[in-house]
Amino acid sequence: MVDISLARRTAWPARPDGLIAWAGRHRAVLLFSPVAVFLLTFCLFPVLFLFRVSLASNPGGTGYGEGHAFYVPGTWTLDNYVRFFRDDHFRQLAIFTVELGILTALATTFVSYALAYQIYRAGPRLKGILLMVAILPKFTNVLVLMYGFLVVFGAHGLLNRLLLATGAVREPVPMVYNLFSVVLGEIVLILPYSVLVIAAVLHAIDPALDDAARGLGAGPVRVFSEVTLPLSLPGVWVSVLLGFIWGVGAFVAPYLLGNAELYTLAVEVDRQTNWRLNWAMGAAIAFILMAIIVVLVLPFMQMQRDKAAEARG
Amino acid sequence: MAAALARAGWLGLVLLNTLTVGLLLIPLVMSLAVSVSPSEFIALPTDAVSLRWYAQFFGDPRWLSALVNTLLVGGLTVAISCPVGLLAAVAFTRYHLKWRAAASTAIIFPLFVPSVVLGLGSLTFHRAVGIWGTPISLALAHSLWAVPLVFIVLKSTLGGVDRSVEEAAAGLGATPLRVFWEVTLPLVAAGVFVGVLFAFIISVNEFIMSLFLSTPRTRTLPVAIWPQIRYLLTPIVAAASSVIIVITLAILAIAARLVNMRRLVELR
Repeated sequence: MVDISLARRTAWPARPDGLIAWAGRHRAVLLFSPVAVFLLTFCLFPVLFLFRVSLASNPGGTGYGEGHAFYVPGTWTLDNYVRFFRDDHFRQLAIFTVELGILTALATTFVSYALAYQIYRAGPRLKGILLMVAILPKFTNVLVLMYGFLVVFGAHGLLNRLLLATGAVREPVPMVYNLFSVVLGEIVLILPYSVLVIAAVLHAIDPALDDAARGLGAGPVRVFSEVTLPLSLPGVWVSVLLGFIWGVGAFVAPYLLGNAELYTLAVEVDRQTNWRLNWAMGAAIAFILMAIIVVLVLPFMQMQRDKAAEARG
Repeated sequence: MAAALARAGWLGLVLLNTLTVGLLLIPLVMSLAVSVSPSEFIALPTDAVSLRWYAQFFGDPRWLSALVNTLLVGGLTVAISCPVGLLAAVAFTRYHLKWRAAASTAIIFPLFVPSVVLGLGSLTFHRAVGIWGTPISLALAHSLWAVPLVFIVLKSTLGGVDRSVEEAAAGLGATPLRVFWEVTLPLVAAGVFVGVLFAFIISVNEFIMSLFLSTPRTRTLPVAIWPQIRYLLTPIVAAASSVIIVITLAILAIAARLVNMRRLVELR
């Protein structure tokens, strides 16, 4: 295939002036540089700066002590991390956060696989509709979704009012503010990505394999368990990974659909930062959250890579 | 026996998926329904429909300023993320890049960093460089999510363009810039437009980073809804939510007319 850059150079005499000539030769670099600059400046720097702030000392009191709001610039201390690991409350939070991440990953993957599988088997019309429904939450506000949840399932929500009105129950039935509602909320938020990933992997399976298995006498259950499922496992692992990463970072669902015992590290980051105005502590917790993800996810990814390498022989 | 098992399994699957679809749709539909109820409380509009909550929403300067901020930040996010994402996508599809895989990972990396980390990181950094409290600050944070999505959409669109058309134009003596401007860009216009819409939707709906970055002057709709949602379950929140839903659905409807959604997510 002819590269346009080559075609261009033959059609256009090279210019002598250095900078423009360099630009002509390095067009790819020039095109790529805006995104590189953007990511460095507004993703990498903020994360590095966050780490720096987590090593600053607290202003104390209302957050405006010593004339410094939020954190004391120029100070270096490990106090925030020490406090985190000494405090039972924070340790409990970290443990629960990881548990919620694992639970979310498994539940989301299970539900998403079921939906993706039906999308895979459905006719073109139903396929389009289901796909649209599945990605709808991605284009909806998190808060709108959670509000809808409360409107339907809350203590004063529609379902409870209906139950009370019909006399089926005397007291409102508690359906939200528990672990179940938190996980359901998280499922809704992560499902669009998981369904897309799993559906894409399922659709990439060669249909001839299906037919071959069936021709050899396998029933639909065996075709699924011995052909479809094993071949779709890469998608399942990606879904588990996504579910875990976003489940560990869960903020809105635990806060709005949970209770104080179901709060996560992300909720604590918000409370330290926006309520106590203690940015340094908030930064330390945010950094620990990120470290947890890296420590747990990297070995998992390495495992997958090894497995893939093994499969290739 | 096996056939019965298969049928039972499929039935269970369909049942589970029906519940899932209900879980995805019911909250949205109910938010919309409650917003046109005349009742003081959360209720379905059984005998009358009322726009009182919308009247209250559009009559309150605080909600209005949140709406204006939301649209402004959305526009800025588009202005930042689309050129950046487009140029990166062109670099990927038209040139040989060293470190291709690493570069691609770097672009989608922000999607895998918890929003609270990006939010608080941006807050500390934006405050240090002096842009905290401006709409630009929010738009830059939203672009961390918008750039990867614009990049993914445009990479697949640009990859689908017939290269021989570009080569023909170049062969006839057009400069690369002219080839891009007069041949490639018109061919991918629909994709670019979808990228613009996605970036806007991402921004309008983004909440967690906005919560950290917004100040009373730059408060967006989701941030304005936030304190109301847990304790005051009044239908005004439903009205505010519905405004967001309507903006999003309108944009999605436009996008769906322009491109085949199924092709976009690469399913056959």
